[in-house]
Amino acid sequence: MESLTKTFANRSALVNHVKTLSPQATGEDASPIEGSQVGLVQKLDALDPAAYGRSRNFINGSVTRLSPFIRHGMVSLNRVRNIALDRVTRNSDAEKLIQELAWREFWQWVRRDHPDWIWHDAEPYKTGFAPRDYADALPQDIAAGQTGVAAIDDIIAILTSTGYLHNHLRMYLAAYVVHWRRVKWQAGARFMLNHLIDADAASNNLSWQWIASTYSQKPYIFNLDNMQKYCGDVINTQSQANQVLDASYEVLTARLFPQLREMD
Amino acid sequence: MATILWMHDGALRADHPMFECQPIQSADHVKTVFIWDNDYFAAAEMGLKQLVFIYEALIDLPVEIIEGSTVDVLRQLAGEDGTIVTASSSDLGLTQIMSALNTSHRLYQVADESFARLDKTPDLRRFFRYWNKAKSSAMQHHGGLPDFWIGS
Repeated sequence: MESLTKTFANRSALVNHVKTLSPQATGEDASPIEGSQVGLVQKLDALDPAAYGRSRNFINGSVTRLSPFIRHGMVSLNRVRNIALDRVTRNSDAEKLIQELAWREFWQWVRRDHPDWIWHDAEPYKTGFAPRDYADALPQDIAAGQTGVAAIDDIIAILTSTGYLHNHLRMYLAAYVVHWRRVKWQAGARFMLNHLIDADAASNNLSWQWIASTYSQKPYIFNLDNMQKYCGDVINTQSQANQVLDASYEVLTARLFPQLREMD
Repeated sequence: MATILWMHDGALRADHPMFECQPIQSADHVKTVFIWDNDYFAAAEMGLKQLVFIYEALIDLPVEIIEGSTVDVLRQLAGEDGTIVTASSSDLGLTQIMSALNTSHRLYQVADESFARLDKTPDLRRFFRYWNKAKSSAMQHHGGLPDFWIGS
């Protein structure tokens, strides 16, 4: 039984090797984020738990970008937590970061106990709609990043070109797919699994259920004001280019979930 | 008798506790492998970017990469009476493979270092029910566990 080579002239040779080995894999190029020990050490060196706690919701905030390394077991949650505690004077300054690590642990627990929830609704939708009201397949314009909603198209472009999204961008995209377009969370979850370098069915699919409201008390939605606050100029958040997102939460809730109002 | 250390895509590091477990420590020779299994990758919906990331991680590790069906390759490498050691996982594809291997071989599944100590299975209906139980332990070095628990 022959071993596959581990020696390559350069990165593009490695990428071509993987393309040849796995022609079924979605995507055309590698992520700029490399799966190397050097990359991991750089990210661990840069870890700043207090700054993370203050700015993690901002797209340009001090997020760790450790998720691909944690997903593949290149570093344990235990080690990241220990480093985080070593870098703060008060443990509470590391709490936000450690809580996010705990989300990862939590999703692994849930999958262990409820493997069926990875692809099936954990609970009913709390949107006023039944599962049959949601489309089974991801619309082509979403897969192609050509929805006509500029901010959403920019998020999809970042996902498909880098294989990585800030958590807030994942939430925006998931909410748009499920609530604005009324597509089953499973179709969106599959799309993200196909592109993310940290793709993990537990964290990904169960988070989609959290957005959809099949694993939470209510659907998660956002509006353009929220995007403008957190995204800076990373994506296009101009009002005219994002009209379906540009409304108050009250208006959006009535528009997206009209049957909830009737039930009140 | 062959001893096979099977690294899968959820445990790609050389200081994972599986390297320290008794069947590995007591073996005369250990063959460490990663199986490049397209059926497994496809079932997990893994894209090219993730597969490149995994391959890059493997280059840094003391592991042979072998192409094929994970179950078939590991059974062949382990022979009739061999031992297979791997990292435990809740991944659906990996648990299916481990169940199949369990029918034919001694399979040891080694847990990763603990993150938090829980006295019993947590309430999994909502995250904060879990967090409220796990927080005091999670906010301590090694989850507040005694050193001898770490990696066991």
